[in-house]
Amino acid sequence: MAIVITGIGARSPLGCSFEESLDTLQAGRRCVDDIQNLDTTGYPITAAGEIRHDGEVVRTSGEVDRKVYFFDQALEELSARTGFRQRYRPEELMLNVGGGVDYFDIEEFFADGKLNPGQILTSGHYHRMAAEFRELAERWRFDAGCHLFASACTASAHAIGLAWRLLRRGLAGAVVAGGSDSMITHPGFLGFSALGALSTSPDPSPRKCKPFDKHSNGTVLGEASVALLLEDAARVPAGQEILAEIVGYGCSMDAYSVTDPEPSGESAAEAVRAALDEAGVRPDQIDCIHLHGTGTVKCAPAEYNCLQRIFGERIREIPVYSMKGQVGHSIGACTAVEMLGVVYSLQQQAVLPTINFETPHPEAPFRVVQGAPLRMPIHYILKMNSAFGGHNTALIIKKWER
Amino acid sequence: MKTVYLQFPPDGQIPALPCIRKRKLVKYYTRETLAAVLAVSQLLEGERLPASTPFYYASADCENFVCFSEVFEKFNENGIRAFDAERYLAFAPPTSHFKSMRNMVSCFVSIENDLHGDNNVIVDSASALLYAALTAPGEETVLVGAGFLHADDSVEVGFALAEPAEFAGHPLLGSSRPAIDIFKP
Repeated sequence: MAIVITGIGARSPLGCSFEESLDTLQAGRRCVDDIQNLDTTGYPITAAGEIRHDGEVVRTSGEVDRKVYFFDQALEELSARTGFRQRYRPEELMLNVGGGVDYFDIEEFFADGKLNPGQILTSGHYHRMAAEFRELAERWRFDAGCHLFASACTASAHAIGLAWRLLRRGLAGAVVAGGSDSMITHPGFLGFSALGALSTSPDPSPRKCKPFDKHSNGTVLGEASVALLLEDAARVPAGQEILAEIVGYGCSMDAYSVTDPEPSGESAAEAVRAALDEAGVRPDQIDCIHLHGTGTVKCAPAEYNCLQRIFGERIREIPVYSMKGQVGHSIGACTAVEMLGVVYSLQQQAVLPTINFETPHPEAPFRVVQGAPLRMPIHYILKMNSAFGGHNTALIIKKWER
Repeated sequence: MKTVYLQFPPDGQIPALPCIRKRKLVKYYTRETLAAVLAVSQLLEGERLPASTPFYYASADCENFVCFSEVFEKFNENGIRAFDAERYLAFAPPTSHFKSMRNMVSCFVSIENDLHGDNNVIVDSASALLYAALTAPGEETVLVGAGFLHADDSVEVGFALAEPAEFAGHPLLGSSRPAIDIFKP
């Protein structure tokens, strides 16, 4: 059984459609800038990748939970592209979404003068992610189940990975899987500011996040809502485009620290081995690697150590890519939005340049593409992500060939 | 299927400390984490799980705002009535963010029990937790758990050790019921 991706609906800093997203990737336009949709007075860092359409930030009021608002739009796009609601009965359709923390309008909560944590839920300014996605799933008739995942930066990888396993076992007809998260809210931004994970680079906002770079010193936050349709290739009608095939998935847990990746990379390597085993693919068949690449100090060396365990010295030759310099880190949605980069690589047979990478990291001497996309034959891509807390995920994605 | 279900009232002591190996991490624990670590300890009865054991955990819908309590107290003490990010960051204890992230219980249970295997963190849903366990790679025994930290600080947790196939046909597959219902006696 071949599990394929037949459509993507996307709202992200790259744009408000699948096509706009690929165009922005191709053009290499920087999508991180000073935040516009949130009052950043009092924050030490004000850079982020906000959802944009035609280059302009899409603004919403403080009452709106952007996670749900934009995911609904992504579903509209996905439905129009794939016709999944016409092709599958509601009881065959499942929704798997990686998300983040619940949203509440903290400014209005303060304005109401109820500074008691016990009153947050009843303040009218609180949005329960699970309840709102359940309502969305009922409206869209995902009757086979609505499942939310919260493993931080690997939440959407877990959503996609479980979807793949369920489809392979015949436990769902089709799964809309992806991620939706916005960290550009006070609850999200406060948390990450307190953790000290954000870039303090003196560079202007669009250049603050530098994946794999010797001078990287932190990430920038982002937001995205991306929905992928996963289904059995045997049920895809003639004429429906197939974007990619997922052939392997694995995950592991560092169980080392809640803040730092396990530095030897052994635990993350277990996730990659599991995904390769599932796929029946050897390491030498992997053509390029789309990494987590957050731009935090410890990320690139840990990823390099991990991949050296799998690829040996060949890791210096395999082109690697991170999208986060261009769009920021959308946490619970990052794997889902980064699947756009995977699809770009498979469609265009090219590895994108990592935006803001300039100086190789001595502890992570990856082959990072700069300038223009690197044209090359690409059959298999390894997509990796890791999370605050120690989760690691690996997906093996193959160019679709009938 | 071997199961443990624990419930603690709002002011109830959670006697987890004697079973915690990495005590310097306890400052990051919520009451849900304490209860979860205790429940797993009782489930294992001194045995250690293989490091490769898959572990899937579901936290309930958020009702408790441990991460805001101390900050709001300081805002109130200082008579501050409008949101102020700078003061918020100055007042926020460094550990507060850990208490708002839903994957932390899973991470601390994994660290405490040296679990490195397949995993997932689920919000609320019994269905998602059961599907994750049912489709675990291999035939290995899996550890599944769920927790619910209520608004009044009461907490309930449930854990089970089972073979993946034991979850086939479970009545909560595909349901919208909370995961803690899987473990309630």
